[in-house]
This record gives sequence, C-alpha cells and structure tokens, in this order.
Amino acid sequence: MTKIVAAVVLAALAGDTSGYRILVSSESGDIVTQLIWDGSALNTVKVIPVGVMPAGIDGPHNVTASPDGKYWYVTIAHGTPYGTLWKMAAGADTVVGKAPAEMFPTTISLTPDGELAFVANSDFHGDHPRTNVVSIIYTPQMVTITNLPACDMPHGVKVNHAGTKVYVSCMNSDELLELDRASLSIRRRHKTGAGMSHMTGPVAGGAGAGAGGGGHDCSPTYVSVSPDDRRLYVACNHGNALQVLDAATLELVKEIPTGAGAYNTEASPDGKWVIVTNKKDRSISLIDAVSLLEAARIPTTKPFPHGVAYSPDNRYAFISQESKGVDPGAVSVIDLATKTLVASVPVPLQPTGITILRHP
Amino acid sequence: MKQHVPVWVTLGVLLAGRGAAQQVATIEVVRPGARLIAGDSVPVRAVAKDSAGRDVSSATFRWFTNNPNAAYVTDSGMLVTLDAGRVTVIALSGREVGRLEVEIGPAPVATLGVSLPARTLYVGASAPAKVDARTRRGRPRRDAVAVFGSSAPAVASVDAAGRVVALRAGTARIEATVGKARGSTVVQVVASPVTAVTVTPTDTTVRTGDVVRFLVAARAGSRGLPQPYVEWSATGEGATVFEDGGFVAERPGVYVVTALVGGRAGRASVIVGPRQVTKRDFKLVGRGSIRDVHTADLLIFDQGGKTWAYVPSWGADALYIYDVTNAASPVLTDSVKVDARVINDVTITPDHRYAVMTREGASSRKNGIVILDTSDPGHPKAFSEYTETVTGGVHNAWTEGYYVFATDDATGSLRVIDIHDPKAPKEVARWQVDRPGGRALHDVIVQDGLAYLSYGYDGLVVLDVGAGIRGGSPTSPTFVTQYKDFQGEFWTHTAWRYKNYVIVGDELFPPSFGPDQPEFPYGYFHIVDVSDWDHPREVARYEIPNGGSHNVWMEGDILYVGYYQGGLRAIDLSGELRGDLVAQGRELAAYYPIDVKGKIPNWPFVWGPQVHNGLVYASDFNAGLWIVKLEPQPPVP
Repeated sequence: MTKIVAAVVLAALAGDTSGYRILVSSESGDIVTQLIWDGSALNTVKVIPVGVMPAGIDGPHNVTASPDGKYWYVTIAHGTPYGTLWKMAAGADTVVGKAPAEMFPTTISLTPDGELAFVANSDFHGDHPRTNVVSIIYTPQMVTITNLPACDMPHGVKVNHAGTKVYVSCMNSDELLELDRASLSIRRRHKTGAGMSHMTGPVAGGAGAGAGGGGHDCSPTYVSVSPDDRRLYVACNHGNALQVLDAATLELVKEIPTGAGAYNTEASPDGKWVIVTNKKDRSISLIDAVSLLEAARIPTTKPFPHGVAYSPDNRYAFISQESKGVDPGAVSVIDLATKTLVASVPVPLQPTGITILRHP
Repeated sequence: MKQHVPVWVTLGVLLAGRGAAQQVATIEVVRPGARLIAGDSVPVRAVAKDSAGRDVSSATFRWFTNNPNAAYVTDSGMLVTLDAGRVTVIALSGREVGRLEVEIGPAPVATLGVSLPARTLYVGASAPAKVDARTRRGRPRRDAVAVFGSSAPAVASVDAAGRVVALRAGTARIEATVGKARGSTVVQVVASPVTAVTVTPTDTTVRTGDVVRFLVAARAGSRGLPQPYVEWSATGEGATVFEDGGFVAERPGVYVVTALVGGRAGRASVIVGPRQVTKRDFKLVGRGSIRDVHTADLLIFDQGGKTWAYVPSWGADALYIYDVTNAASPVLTDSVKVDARVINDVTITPDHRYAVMTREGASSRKNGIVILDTSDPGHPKAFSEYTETVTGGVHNAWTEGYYVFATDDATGSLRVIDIHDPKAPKEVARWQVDRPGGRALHDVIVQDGLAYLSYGYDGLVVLDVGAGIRGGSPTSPTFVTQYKDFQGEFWTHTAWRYKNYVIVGDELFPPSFGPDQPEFPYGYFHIVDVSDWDHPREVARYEIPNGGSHNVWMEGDILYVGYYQGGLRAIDLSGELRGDLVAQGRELAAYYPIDVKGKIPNWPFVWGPQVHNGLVYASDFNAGLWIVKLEPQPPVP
C-alpha cells in the first residue's frame, strides 16, 4: 500500500524570503519535502506525494530543479518494473509530465537550457554485470529520446556548466564516461579503479580508457563538475576517497581520502568547496577546492548521509541523511564559514535526493 | 508493445545551403502529404533555417515522437505508424527543435469474420450474427460497424443489428461489410419440425443468487430433436437467463423463463425468494491494538499448545508477536525488528518451524526476505535472510513446503527460493510475464500445486508448480493460463482458488493516496470460472459501494474479505456463482473496526482476514489485530 503523505503546510509561508526552497525526496516514503532555511531555522513548508503504485514503495530517489525555477524533476525508481522521470510545476507542485526511464533511475542532471535531462538508470536490483542505460529525455514534452547503453550500474550523472558535456559515474564497471551533448554519444571512458566488473566493446568516438585511478576499487557513486568546468570530482564509494580529475585529459589530479563510503559530492557554486557525503561514516568531508585538502570532517545528525545542495549565496550547505527503519532521516545545515553543523530538521522515510529550487 | 528507440537520421543535402558554419535557428517538420493511418510507413523530412531564413543544408536531425507506441521514426527516416491517435513528430538539430502534430487514423479493417451460434436454424428462429473485424496486422477493430446483408432475404433476413431471422427453407449467405472488407457465413434454414418444446425444471423455487440450469427438449411429434438452438428470455427486470440456459435472480419474485425453438415456445416458472431473511453479525472477541504504526498482513498458527498471531508493520520495522490462545485477551509477547520500512507479509513453513518475513525499504537497499526461527513461537528470532536476487524488495511471499514463492519488486517477476537449508537459501526458479514496460507482480499464493499470481494489469496468471497438469514443479514453474479480460478498470491484487473458481481481487486507489489521512480505494472481486483452463471466464462479481477490495480467506463456502474502508465482510459463495453476488443478497455480515485512538482515528481500513479455529482474525491498517466471530444466522421469525 502506498505511503504517500498528504501535503501539509507546517510553517507559514510568510517567512519564505530566502528566494529558494530546499527539495528533498524520501525514497521509502514516496514524498518530496520542501524546506525553507531562514538563516537560523530549517522548516518544513510542504510535503508533496509522488509515486505510482499504491501497494508498494515507488522510490523517489533524486530531485533536481530546472534552471528557470519553473519546474522540478524527480526520479521514481521503482516502476513496473521500469521507473520514470516526473516533471512537476513549481509552486503548484503538480505533475505536468512523465517520461519512461529504465531500471531504477536515480540521479538526474539537466542541460543549462533545461531542455534535456540525463537520467542514470542504476539498476540496483537487477542481475549484473549488465550494460545499463542512461535515459536522455527531452523535457518540454517529456519524451525519452533514447536509452543510451552506458555501463554497469551508472549512478552519478552531471552536465557541465557549459552544457556541452555530460559525465556519468559507473559503480560496477568502475569508470567515468564523458558524453557529448550535441551527438548524445559517449566520447570517452575513463577507468576510476579496478572495478567490480569490466566493460568490453568499442567506445563510440572515444579515446579509450584514460588514466586509471589505481589498482583498487573506486566504485564511483557520483561525479560533479567545478564551476569553471575544468575539474571533475568523483566520489569513490569503495575507495573512501574523492578523485579530482582534469576535465580536459581525464587524468587524476589528486585522490583525497574521505570518510568511509564516499557517496555524493558537489562543488559549491563559487568553486571554493567540495563536499563529500561519507555514507558509512555518518559524516561529510569538506574539501578545500584550491588546496585539495580536507578542511573538516563534520559528523551528521543521522546515519547514511546522502545528498548535498548549496544555498545560492554559497554560505550554507544542506545535507540529506537517510537513517534507518522508522527513525526519521534529516536535512542538516552546514555553515561553510564556521565549518559547523548549525541546524537540522527531521525528514521521514529515507531522505535521499536534495536540490535547491529558486523562485522564478 | 515493442519499444522503438528513435535514432539519428542524416538527411544529407536537402536544399541549397551556405555550409557548415551556419547555425540552425528554426526547424520545420514537413507534413506528410497523405492522411496517415495506422500501419503506414511514410518518409518524414524537416527543413532547417538559420536566423536569416536561409536553408541550412548541412543540418542533421534526430527524430522521435512523443508516443512511440503509436508511431516511431526509423533510422532510414520513415515514420511508422502503429496505432490510431494524435502524435507529435519531433526533430532535433543541435539545440533547436521542430514539431509537427499529426493525426493517425485507425487502420482499415482487412479481414472480417462472421459467425452464427448455429449453422442450421429452424424456420421462425432468430440468432445474432457476430463479426470479428481485424486490421491487416491482426489487431481487432471493435469499433467497426458492419453493414449486414443476406444473399437470400426471403430465406433468412438480417437486420441492421445483425439479427438473422429464418423465414423459409433454403440456404442464405449472411454477409457483413466494413469498408472494403467483406465476410460472410452460410446459414441453412430448414422447416421447423418442432411440435413441442419442454423446459425443465418446469417450476422451481429458489433463493436469489441460486443458479437454475434449464434444459430444453424439443420434439417433432414423438421424436426428440438433438441440440436445438434456443432463444432464451425471462420476464421482469430482476433476473437474467444466459445463453447456456443458466438463470439467476437478484430480486425475489415470480419469473417466467421462455425457450424459443423453431418458432415454438416452452416455458417454465421460477419462484424466487430472498436469500436470507436476517443478516448475521460479527461479534468482537478480542483485540491486539497497534496504534502507533500501520499494520499489514497477518499470520495465525498453532504451536506448542498455543495459538499465535504474527502481525507485521507497514511504514515501520517490526513484526509483532501475540499469544492469542485466549482470544479475548491477546498478549503481546515480543516483537522482531529488522532493517526495513515495510514488512508487508509474513508466512510460515508447514511444520511451523520457520516463518518468512518480506522486507522493503531497508537502509542497505538489500531487502528480500528474513527467515525467523519459530521454535519458540512467542519469541521468534531472525535466523537468516535471503537478499541476493531480490534486493529491490519482496512485497508478498508464500511458503509451500520449504519453497518460498516471492514477488520481486524490482523486476516484477516471481522468484522461488529454496529454504530446505534455512541457513543458506538459494533461488531455484524465476517466472515472469513478457511485458518489460508494465509488469508488476503483486502477490502469489499456491494451492494444490498451482501458483496463482496476481499480476496487476496483466491480471491473473496460473502456473503449474506441482499439480501435474502442465508438468511444472517449484523449480520449474510452467504456464497454465492467464486471464485479464476484466470489464472496466482493474488491477489484480489478490487471488484465491475456490472449487472451480478463482476469486480475483483488485486494488485501486484514487490518484493521491496517503496513509496518514482517510482514503477511498475502490475495486472489487471478480469470480473467474477456471473449469476450462484454456477458456477462463468471469462469471460473477462481489462489489460493494465505498470499499476497496484487498485480501481474502475462504472457509467452507464463506468468503471473508478485507474491504479496506468497507470493513471486514463475509459473503456466501455456496452453489454456482453467476452475476452480482451482492444484489443477490449473498452478503452475510460486515464489521467496521473503528478505533478512536487508531493511527488514523475512526477510519477502519481492513487489510485482510484469516479464519482459525472458528474465529476470524483481521488486521486493520490503522488499529492492529481484531478478533471476531461470525454469529450464526438467527432463526427466521
């Protein structure tokens, strides 16, 4: 039976002066929670039910917002059995379109013009090794243009800021892919580690495997791009490290140790910081993007920290934490000036994806 | 339906252009010249222009449609239409987009079959002609309206609705036309030798809901006529007589059933009384209140001289253990907590040695099943688990011997897990319907060697897993039949075999459903006759207003159901089943487990029942375990 919690306004919207909201998807709750941060308190202002099957957990894994702030998108991971990408109208928070994805779609990244959505189909629960696909969706009409055969268990996907390249991190095949936005094809493959399985076959137009990340497993769960598009940040879930790559050559610049189970990673909009969630360590690593040193390791309030989002003014970072069982997860606020956790709010039923929705 | 993935189409030089440096500013998708119908394959093209309005001849396009089930574009630039509807054809070049909305008409009828229920009709008889209209690809065109005609209207006429009337001896060809498609069948009309028609039983006294099987004997003088075609009818609005002579009434009264054979009629009377005079009641015996979390399915069993109730939680992580030996005063003896957010189902091996819990929402995303050691049934212990091929979650499970039949959330397939070595369970079989883009297996139950799979939009699927009718076994499930020809909206959620029927329940929710507010699911129970595995058919329905069908249990001839907000229900399924069972007065009792302190106060939401030792145990989503007894029917005054 579904577990969609009805929309409930828990705080007055009069305090919504920040110019943005924080959206959090709860994977076991089939809800997306909207939060407001007023500089001192984090408040839940709205809970939007999502999901398809009343009789089961539909698994909204990740959420992202369109650049113009008019829409937000959420991946519904479980399906029949394929998942979907939902397009929601911001404000009304109603479904305006759905596009089919494939097995267990997880992360989403939009081109800067908002026209294309790249969705990693992680296929967490299927048989492996398998070449999973990245769904490419034309968002104005929510049409799946293609399911691009990519790699074994792609999880992280990120479009660069110029909108020209798309990076995909592949957990099982332990590699990073570079897609060309114009041709929608894979241009390069780069090994991030020894891998759990190994891809074979030709690489379309690519330069083959780049510099390896070493003889150990990385199992890259996520990739993000520096604001100037010159560096890539790859979270190594098995390697317990952040790999910093040169985006031009895909060569390893540095591997920075993090807490156990590095999971997601995001660079701050001003490029000063990179945060890594350490899923098995109940902490985040705050990396100085210039020195490439861990500036702080900050414990989270709940186990299994998952996603990262930044306030547009670069002052705060928001961290989702899944927790376990009936214990609610949380979203916590990290003050980047003091490098401390300054606030937290419970969010039920496995909060995972997190993003910033700016008011149009 | 096969998924078609649009691909790059290079159009090459379409029009004179200025070279590669030109930037595409606009794209026009050129409308195909002819009217499109399903089954067409026509070239599509687009024209790209730069900001100055000049053609960009070097532009390449990526094609797709917004509905690939209705139409798609091939890699050679052909628009292939599959089905009727409105489709947007989209061309992408760089970052520019061109769109064209096209209307696809239905494919014409290519073949037309015509049939009559009998090849020979007596003069004076009439029979309906049926048509089977199909496209060239074999798709049925149920919307097609046929124009009928007769090659010999003086022998057999046919009206606009297709009713054939036999007028005089001879042969006539009954023809039907839809567009250019034609079909026909031959009917032989012979003089009616019928001198008398007898319908038996001639007079019957039954209750509403009782099915009377009428037989017809037509005679020519003293000679009996074999298998005549019969036109059946019944007087009044409270009863139905079917083509096979089965009669059932929903309302008490006196009905006259008429059988017409060759222009002569035979009649019989049916006196229909009410099925029951007095409704029965459920009497509350005891409760095991669970109010802080939702509860799901339940399991009741005897062991060690006591009776136990295992009640899993929904949206939570605990299995609650009750000693219900004294049903009036259940005692919570323990709970088992696991890493989960939904424990939807719990089942047990026949020897009651191990219980199996389903698991969803694990923090590790390794869900699967958890096996409990129940040697101390009041304090079961997690013994082992199996997650390897069911990490995405198991919603329902059924133990048959030491095999666990489990629904795999992630793939919509059935997984059979061998737990003969409970410490090392292993998957031994899989089965799934061949529908990658819409498959959802919700539940499975095994009865007498047949597995009944509740397969959502794929309806009911039956597999041989040891019955011997198709050579299947637990390690090699073998398809027996599938039924999904339900009328209207359905989503098959549960199934239970009873005599020659399968009780098939829906689970349907309104678009926004929330467990923390009163909700109004709907759907009903379909009674499917599986006497002929090759031709299962829905023969009756159990539908109530303001209730959502959920789980069932049969005990004797009484069906107990959890009808969500419609409460706990009991209905008499004795005898043959036809028609609307509620209208026939078969429902025996209803009980609403209302709890002012429930998870959702005052909102009964009965998940499902189990009958055990004469008591009915029911789990309620909002208020835990309820134990009731169905009171005997009071004497008729």
